[in-house]
Amino acid sequence: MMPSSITYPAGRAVRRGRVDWGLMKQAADLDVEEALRRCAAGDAAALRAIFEREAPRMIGVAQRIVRRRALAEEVVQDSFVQIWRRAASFDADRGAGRTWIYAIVRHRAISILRDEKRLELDADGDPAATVSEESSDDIVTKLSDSSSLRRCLEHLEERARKLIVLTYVHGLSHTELAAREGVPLGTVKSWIRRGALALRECLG
Amino acid sequence: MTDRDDDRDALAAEYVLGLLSGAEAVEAERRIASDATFAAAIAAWRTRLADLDLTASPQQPGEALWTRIASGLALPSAAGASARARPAPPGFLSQVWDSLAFWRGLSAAAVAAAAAFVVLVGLRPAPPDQPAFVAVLTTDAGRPGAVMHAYADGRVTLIPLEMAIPQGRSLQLWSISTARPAPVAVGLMDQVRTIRLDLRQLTPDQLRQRFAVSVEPAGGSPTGLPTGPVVMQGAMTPAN
Repeated sequence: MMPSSITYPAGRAVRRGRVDWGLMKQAADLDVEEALRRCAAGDAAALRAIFEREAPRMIGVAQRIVRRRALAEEVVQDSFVQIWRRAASFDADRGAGRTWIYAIVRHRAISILRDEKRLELDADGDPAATVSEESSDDIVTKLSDSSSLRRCLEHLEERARKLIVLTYVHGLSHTELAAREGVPLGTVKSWIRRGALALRECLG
Repeated sequence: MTDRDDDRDALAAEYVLGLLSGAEAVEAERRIASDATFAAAIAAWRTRLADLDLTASPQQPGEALWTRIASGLALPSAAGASARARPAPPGFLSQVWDSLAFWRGLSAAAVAAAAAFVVLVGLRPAPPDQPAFVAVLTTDAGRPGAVMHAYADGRVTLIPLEMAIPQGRSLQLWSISTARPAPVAVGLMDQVRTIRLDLRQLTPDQLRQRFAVSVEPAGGSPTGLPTGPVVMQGAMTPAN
């Protein structure tokens, strides 16, 4: 008896069925903390679920720092290796799973930016594959209206808000900030310090 | 808040913002490991600023990115061998695999298992050793749907990568070997998760051939042969 859907043994190839991936997609919502626990237990499907759900934004976060798309993907690749290997060290009492994941992404992106200095080596790269810098006001506007971070940033002095947002989002260094603002390094440091402490008071 | 609290929180903010130099960052990381209050200050800053991550525009990754990640983690895939992949497993495994004596030794158990298959879900610990054979089961669209690892002792794991089970159905895994007249059902999946199979009843030659996954009624094919569409398939190849 020959099964209808498999040609066998002749042809070697099994007839391929149609799959409606859209219809069969798992629920879009993902419990990141639970997925990290499953990663810690060695469940590769949980890592894949995190990839499905978070990789696009992880690339976006990385690309704002390293600018080039290819480098951003490299950051995300390294980050997934870290997520898989360090999932057991994730501590839900210390913060949300998503926050932990993005801390890994930013950490990796910033170390590539600072240490490897590969950005300058790729002046002939495809401009379409790079992102340009956003202004701090544009970024703050993208925060949800209900975000207390938005409310508190809007209450900061403008220069402190600008420095904190550009540093977090684009990975600018003290030196770069000082050059842009045309002020000494120490001034930039003290603006950021004061801004950070004001932000802490506002956010609690 | 004391000045000391302020100094600690300001330093934590600089660390989270990414402003510390290499040496300062290393020093801060050492302090995170030894000073719980400082570690909590870091965590608090990450949480305070986390909404900024949501302002990044999502960029769709190519499937190649996942393939690179999977191979970097030694979830090997023929589709994406990368320089970061782990070194090839030692050759002795495949020698054991090919050894007739080894398989003769198992044949009594294999006969007892007969046509029936044993699916052990979550009972065995993850195999600590390297697989002797791997297969990437690809979908109709050529995307990696699952990775199978076969170990020298006949254990097999199937790790879903992109797999979904239609409501009220099961996915069934089939071994397809030119040495046998028909596909043999070797595993059944009711949920998307890594499954471990005991395929000692298959000979090395059988294990080295093709595997396919078909959509079947819940509980598996009623006929013992595939009845639904094949959603992914692939061939085992030596892991080294």
